[in-house]
Amino acid sequence: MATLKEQFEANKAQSQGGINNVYDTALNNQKQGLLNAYNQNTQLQNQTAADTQKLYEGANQGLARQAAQTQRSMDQFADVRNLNRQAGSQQALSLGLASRNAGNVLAAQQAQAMAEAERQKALTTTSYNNQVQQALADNDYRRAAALLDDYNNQHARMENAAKTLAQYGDFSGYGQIYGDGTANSMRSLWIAQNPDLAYRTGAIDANRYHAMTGQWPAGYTPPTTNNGYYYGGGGTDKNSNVKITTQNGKMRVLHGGGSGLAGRK
Amino acid sequence: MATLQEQFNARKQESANQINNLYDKQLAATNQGLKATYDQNLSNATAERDKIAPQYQTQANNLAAAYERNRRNANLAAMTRGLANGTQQQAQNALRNQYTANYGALRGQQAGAITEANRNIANLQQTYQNNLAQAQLENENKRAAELVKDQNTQQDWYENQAKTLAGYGDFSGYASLYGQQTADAMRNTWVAQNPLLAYRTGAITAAKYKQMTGKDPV
Repeated sequence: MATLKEQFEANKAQSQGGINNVYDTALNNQKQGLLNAYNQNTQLQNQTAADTQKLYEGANQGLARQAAQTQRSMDQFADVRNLNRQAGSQQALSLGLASRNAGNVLAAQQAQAMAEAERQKALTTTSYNNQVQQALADNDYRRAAALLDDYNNQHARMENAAKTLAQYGDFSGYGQIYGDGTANSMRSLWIAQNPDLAYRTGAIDANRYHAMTGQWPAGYTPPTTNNGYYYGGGGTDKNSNVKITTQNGKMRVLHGGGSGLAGRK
Repeated sequence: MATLQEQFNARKQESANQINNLYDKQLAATNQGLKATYDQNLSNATAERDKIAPQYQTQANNLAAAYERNRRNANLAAMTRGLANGTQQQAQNALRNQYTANYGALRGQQAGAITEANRNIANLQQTYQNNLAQAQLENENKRAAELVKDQNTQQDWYENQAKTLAGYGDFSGYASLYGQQTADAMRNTWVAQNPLLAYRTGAITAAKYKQMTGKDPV
């Protein structure tokens, strides 16, 4: 059978294994939750960046369509007004420049928007890494606190168990906590306080009981000497109505209400 | 009848299941609340974003109409004032280039506004996803603490049950806690403390009672 100390170590190992499992599961779930959020956020940011790209491409195409439309109306105007080729070329050149300038402005805005999208994605990644680190640190801290609490709890349980056992005269638990010398002293005190119990449970024998109390234990028949006298200093023999007592550490055997040393069975 | 150890194991499992169910439900309720808020915010943000393109199209139409009006007015003025073709053409070019620049700027503003709206929507989703993750973090922390606390509660229950049973002379609980040999010794002490009770409950015989007390049982 395992000692209380071995049980304490076994209970502690089991309990702390359980705590570690609980916190491992919590951490895995937390990391999975953070990863899900990160994946969702990254996916959305990629989509937003792609949308931004399309938006500016659309704006550029709109600008090109508008320029083409204006060019057509200019050509028609030139035909109607019979403008010479040089004048028409100047007009087209001027419009082309204006269109290119507007396109450059759009391109700059697009580049800025795309850079912002990339910055957001980088922030998301940094934030995710920080959150995971934070979750790890938090989990470690909580786990350590729980393990420390559990250690103290298990120790308190061992002390309670030792106390319970001691109430039944078993001081082996205290022996493992405070050492055998201390436990033996505690046991001696318990025996002194509970001699009947100690005798009945076999912690002491009849002689020890007699030495402690000056009486023989109830239900115990003291042995006799060869010449028929009782040993010891206490107890009662109901059958012969002989009373045995001690006085100043010496045995006296009494018959009925009389006195003297004449007892014989 | 299940032993105390079996009851203890069953209680531990049942209790852990209940705690997990409770925290699963709590997380589901929290997530549902977050989703309801997110859906509402997303709906509002999407509606705002969808207004942007028509608004800018109206502005683009106004811009085109203004350009056309200015162009005609300029032509009319040129004819009225008998301006030379070159001068008139210069004025037309200026109008067209201004229109092109304005048109480009307008479409750029539109793209910027929609991009900003999309970014707001992305932020909403990001906030929502982060809130979900945060809710899970808190839920898991509380759940873990509760499960660990419950482990102690169940152990306390086990020890209390063993103590209660021992008060009635049944040391089977202590046997499963501290071992049969220790429990037997505890039982012997209990019998020694309570010989009459032990005799009446059949834990000891009359002879044993007499041996212990020197008397016959009543």
